[in-house]
Amino acid sequence: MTRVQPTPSAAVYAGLITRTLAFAVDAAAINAVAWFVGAVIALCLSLLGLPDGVRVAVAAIGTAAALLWAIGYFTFFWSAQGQTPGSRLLGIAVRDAASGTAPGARRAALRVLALPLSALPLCAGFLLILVDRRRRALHDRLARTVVVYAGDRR
Amino acid sequence: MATVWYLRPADTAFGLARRAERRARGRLVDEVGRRALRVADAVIASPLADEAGRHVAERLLASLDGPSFELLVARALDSTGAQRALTRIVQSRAVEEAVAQLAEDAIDRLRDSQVLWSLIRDVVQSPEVSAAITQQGAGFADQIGDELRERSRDADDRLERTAWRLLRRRGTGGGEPSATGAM
Repeated sequence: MTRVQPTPSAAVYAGLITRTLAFAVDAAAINAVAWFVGAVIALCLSLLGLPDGVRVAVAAIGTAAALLWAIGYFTFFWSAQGQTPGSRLLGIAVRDAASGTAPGARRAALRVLALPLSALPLCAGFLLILVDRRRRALHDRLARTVVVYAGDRR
Repeated sequence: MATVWYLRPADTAFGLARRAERRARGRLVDEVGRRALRVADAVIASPLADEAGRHVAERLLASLDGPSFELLVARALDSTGAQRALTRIVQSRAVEEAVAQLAEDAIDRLRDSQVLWSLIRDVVQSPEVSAAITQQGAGFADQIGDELRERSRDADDRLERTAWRLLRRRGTGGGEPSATGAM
């Protein structure tokens, strides 16, 4: 028996290029903030003359903070309205595949964590968008989400 | 020709008489001129001359205001010769240079004018202008966003069609995926 997944009727699923552009905008925003904060902290710490061991520890903490910042960014925006600033610019939104609403915080976090899995096999997980009936990437299938053009009914 | 000796006294007398006549005439002309100037000065300085001048000016202005003068000017302007002359004047180098000079002077004066700059500052800082600029900027950003969305959607469709064509060529595809949820 084939399981029919309920989807919002007549929703138009977003394609690879639009999603890539939106992701690029988000990546730029995340990196801009991370670099700015990192530069400020690095400048402040440079005055203290910390030993090498402490510097390594600070760098590790900084990396972890940057990672958390990226995860938090996507989780927050996806769970809030299903749209990051990049998605809003490109007019797309992440939706729960079943209900058609914005995904909850857990599902959004799962989607973020599954995102590297789409990238790992030479981005093959993302290429699924091109052949999937609902234009889903691997992380969309894992998190049971879809990406649609926001406010669009074709 | 030499004068005959017996005519010399008469000739000398004639010369003297001519010299006397010239002197008398010169004095007379000088005197008459001086008096005429004095009279003219007196006339010009008198209130009567002011009154007369004013009267003439008023009559002149009254005639300029009248319909007959307008008619005259209209006829003159309508005439082919006047139009030719006007065209020549307008197209003349002197007029062009004068206009250019006027424009340059006006621009220079405007540039140097503190009042103008303070007016511009006031206008630019006014809330209405700021709101209009903001609105226009937002409208422009929206327009760019719309264009970007439209193009990226077209690119999505094109890329997907290409990918699907490649897959079908290799004999793996069944049918093209639907981009819509209404299948």
